[in-house]
This record gives sequence, structure tokens and C-alpha cells, in this order.
Amino acid sequence: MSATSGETGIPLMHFDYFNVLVFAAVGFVFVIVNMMIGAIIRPKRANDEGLEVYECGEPTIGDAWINFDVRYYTVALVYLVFAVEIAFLFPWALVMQGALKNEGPAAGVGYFALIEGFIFIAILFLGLAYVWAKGDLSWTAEYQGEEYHPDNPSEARSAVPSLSDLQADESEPTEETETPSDTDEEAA
Amino acid sequence: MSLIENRFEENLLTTKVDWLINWARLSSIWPMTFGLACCAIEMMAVGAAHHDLDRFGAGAFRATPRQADLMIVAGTVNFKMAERIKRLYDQMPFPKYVMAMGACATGGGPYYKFGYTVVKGVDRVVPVDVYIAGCPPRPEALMEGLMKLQEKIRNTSVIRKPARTA
Amino acid sequence: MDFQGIYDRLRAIEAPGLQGCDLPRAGDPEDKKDQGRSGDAFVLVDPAHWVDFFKACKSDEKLAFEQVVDLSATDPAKDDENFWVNVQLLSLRHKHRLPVKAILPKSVSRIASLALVYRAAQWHERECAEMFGITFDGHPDPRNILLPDDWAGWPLRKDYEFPKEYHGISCE
Repeated sequence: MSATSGETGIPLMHFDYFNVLVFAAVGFVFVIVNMMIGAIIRPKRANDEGLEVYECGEPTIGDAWINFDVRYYTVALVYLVFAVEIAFLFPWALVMQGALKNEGPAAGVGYFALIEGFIFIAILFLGLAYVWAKGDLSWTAEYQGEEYHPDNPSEARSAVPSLSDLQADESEPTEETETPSDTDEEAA
Repeated sequence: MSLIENRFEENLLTTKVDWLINWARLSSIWPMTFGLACCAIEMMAVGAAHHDLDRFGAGAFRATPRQADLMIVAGTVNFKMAERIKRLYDQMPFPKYVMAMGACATGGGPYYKFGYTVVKGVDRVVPVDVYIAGCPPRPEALMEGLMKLQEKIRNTSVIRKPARTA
Repeated sequence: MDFQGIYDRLRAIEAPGLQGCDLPRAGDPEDKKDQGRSGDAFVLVDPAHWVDFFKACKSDEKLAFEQVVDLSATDPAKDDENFWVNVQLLSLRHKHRLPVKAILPKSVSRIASLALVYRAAQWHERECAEMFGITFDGHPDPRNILLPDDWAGWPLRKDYEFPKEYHGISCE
């Protein structure tokens, strides 16, 4: 219903979202007024120790503005791409059945849209394959090199005995690969 | 000092305004989690369901001093920890209050005689508003301490000039 | 194995530094001052062969003490000149335990570190070092573990005097 002022009959603008405007205005004013009241009432006694960076009470090391790990950005970026892809695929999937039978909202599009949808998925799959192969999907990098064999065997860490080794009978010879305790002396 | 702090003479209007400000402050004292030892268990019990601290408005325990009003020192204070307590107390914004909970925080507790690294009372490190006795104090005792603190806040002059003692 | 079996095995393999053992005993009924000794039986070891003894304990198959449960020191009230260093060993495989003790003269106050033989001993030795002032030679990380870094004195000695103040906070 259009808003007109009652007595004079001058037509006001047709405005459906009046309540949204009130909502936004109340929210805005509420926040601003509360912050201003706080700023007026609170005591202002800043001192140097209080303005230090918070580090759970420890003496501070450096600033609070530090670089964050770029892996978070990578994960968010990859997620965003595929979320948008899913958002595009939902309506496509809904009307596909009807389109193939030439009825419903997407009649007449038919197999063309089907093939086109699959090409879209294939292109994004290539992107996924690239990200996967580059190793961006795994949080920790896995060691790609060769196994380490130290030249001096006494420098190797002794193997942790398995449960079966620990439970081995006293009379049986032990199966531990552990060399005598020299290894522990060098390993530390 | 802030714009209106302790500026006005005491009259009906300023008394009412002070009442309102003090009521707002005492109904929303946000403690900082500072459980150091066994008294922390009692503090957790007070914050939990049966003895509910949230009905006093004080149930929102903040992990950071920047958002806290009250530091409940619950437990034994060592010299190593005393340095951190001082720093965290400085990092709390005003108005801030400290509650010494339990025998160790009040005066060294059972470690008074032979504890070589125990500070004999946290009031040697930070100014304390309320002391709560007990080892550990019952949850009801902690609640009474909080109510005493609320009484102290109720009688604060925020915009009124402070009462003359002479 | 029980204690006697372990002790016999230690003698059989000629564990270096083995000085003897001390079994708990009841008091002498005729001598009122002798109240006997309660507690566990322990093995006495010479501090000069400290590491070798424990390596023998660890590597022998019948003993197989692969774990140190506790390493502590004592400033005995009845002996003004020595420290005791007490070690408790545990064998998970054979499920037996062994208390080991070394009598360390206070004038020396140095003993070899077990941290490289038994990893668990590392923190226990740090605590002994800061509480008694015993130096553990070869310890990979000799810093204070419980006390602040600039604490003066060794608190668990019998002649320790409490500080008067620390960093401006009074201790009285």
C-alpha cells in the first residue's frame, strides 16, 4: 500500500522497506550512543604498562601484528572456488531432468545444457587436479626425499621397542633392533 | 581523568546518575579467569550450575584482561607468577577490582612459614579490594565476597565529588 | 625378580661401581638408640661409576631396566657431609623395580648425568641441581625448572636461609 499523508492527500513515495530503514537506523544509533556514553563515563587512566601487548602475562616479544600462515588463505581460496561452483550447479541440476524431456522452466535447452554443464565441471576439475598435485590440499608437507641412513651407525636413534618386544618371554632371545645403550648416549 | 569524573556537587540528579552507573557496573562484573591452584576448583563450582554466578551478572569469565573488570586471584601466588599478575593487572582497563580468594592469596596460606617461593599474600603485588578467607572458601563464601564487592561499587562516587573525610 | 635376585644378578654381571646393598632391618631390642631401618632395600653405587652402572642395568636382559621412575637427592639430617642421590628404576618387561643410592660428598657435589642414558632423568636432574646445587656433568639442558632463573641459594639444603625479599616483594 502506498503511503500518503492523511489530511492533505499529497502522495508520498511508494516505499515498501520502511521497516528495514527503521531497523538499520535503530541498530546504528544504539551502537553509537552506547559507545559515546561509555567514552564519557569511563575513567581514562592509560599507563605504559597497561598499553603493552597482551601475551598472557609474559614479557612481550615484538608486536601483535604478525603475518598469518598463508595456508589459511590457500584453503579459503580453494573453498571459495568450489563453493561458487556448487552454487552454479544447483539450479542446473534442478531443471536438467525437465529440460531433457522438453518440459518445465528450461524446456528447449536439452542436451546442449547437459554437455555444457559437464564441460564446466571438467574445467574446474582440472583446477582441482592442479591444486592437488601441487600439494596445496595437504596441511603438512610430506618428506619427498630418500630415507636417511647415517654414516655412523651409532648416530642413529634406537628403535622404540614394540609391544610384542616388551611382552617377549624372558627365556626367548629378544628381537629388538636396539643396539646397546651407546646409541642413547650419542642420540641426545 | 575523564570528562565528568568526580566533577559535580552532590545533589538529587547526580546521585541518581551515580546510582544508575554503579548499578550498571555492579550488575555486570566480568571476572578474569585467574585460577592458580585449588581455589580455582571452587571458583569453577561457583560459575557452574548449582551456585550460579551468572545470576549476579558475573558469569562471563573472560580469558583476556582487556575485557575483564575483576581479577579473582584464586590460588597460591609464587614469585614467578607474581610478575605476571602485576603485568596482567596493569593490562586490565579501569575500573578494575581484585579479589583475593582463599588463604594463599590473602596471606600466604599454609605455605606461610616454609614456602620459600610463595608470596605472602597477593596484596604485596596488586591492590586488593575484597579478601575471602577459607582454604578453599566455600562457593557461598565466594558469592558473599562478590556481594561485598558489589556493595563497594554501589557506594562509589562516579560523577559526584568524593565525600570529604575531614 | 625380587630384590635378592636382582642383587645377585648385578653381582653376577659385575656391574661397575656396585658397593653393596642395604636391607631394611628391625631395631635392636637391646640397644634403645637403634631403631632399625624401615623402607625399601636399595643398592649402593659408587658415584665414580654412575653412568656405567646404569648402562649395565639397562642393557642386561635379565634386568632390563629401561625406565627411570624417579631421580632425587637428599640432604640427610644425620649426615652433614654427604648428599644422597636416589634413583628408582623400573623394568616394564620383567615388572621389577630397583632403588639405587649414591653417597655424594658435599665437597664434591658433582656427579655424571644420566640424561643421555635415560631421557626421563633429564627433568629430575634439573630439579636436583636447582634445589641442592648438585652439578650433573654432561646434562644437555642445565637450567632451572621450577625456581625462577635468578633465584639465589639452594632451597632444599638443610642450611638454606630464606631470602628477605625478591624483586621488591618482601618475603617476611
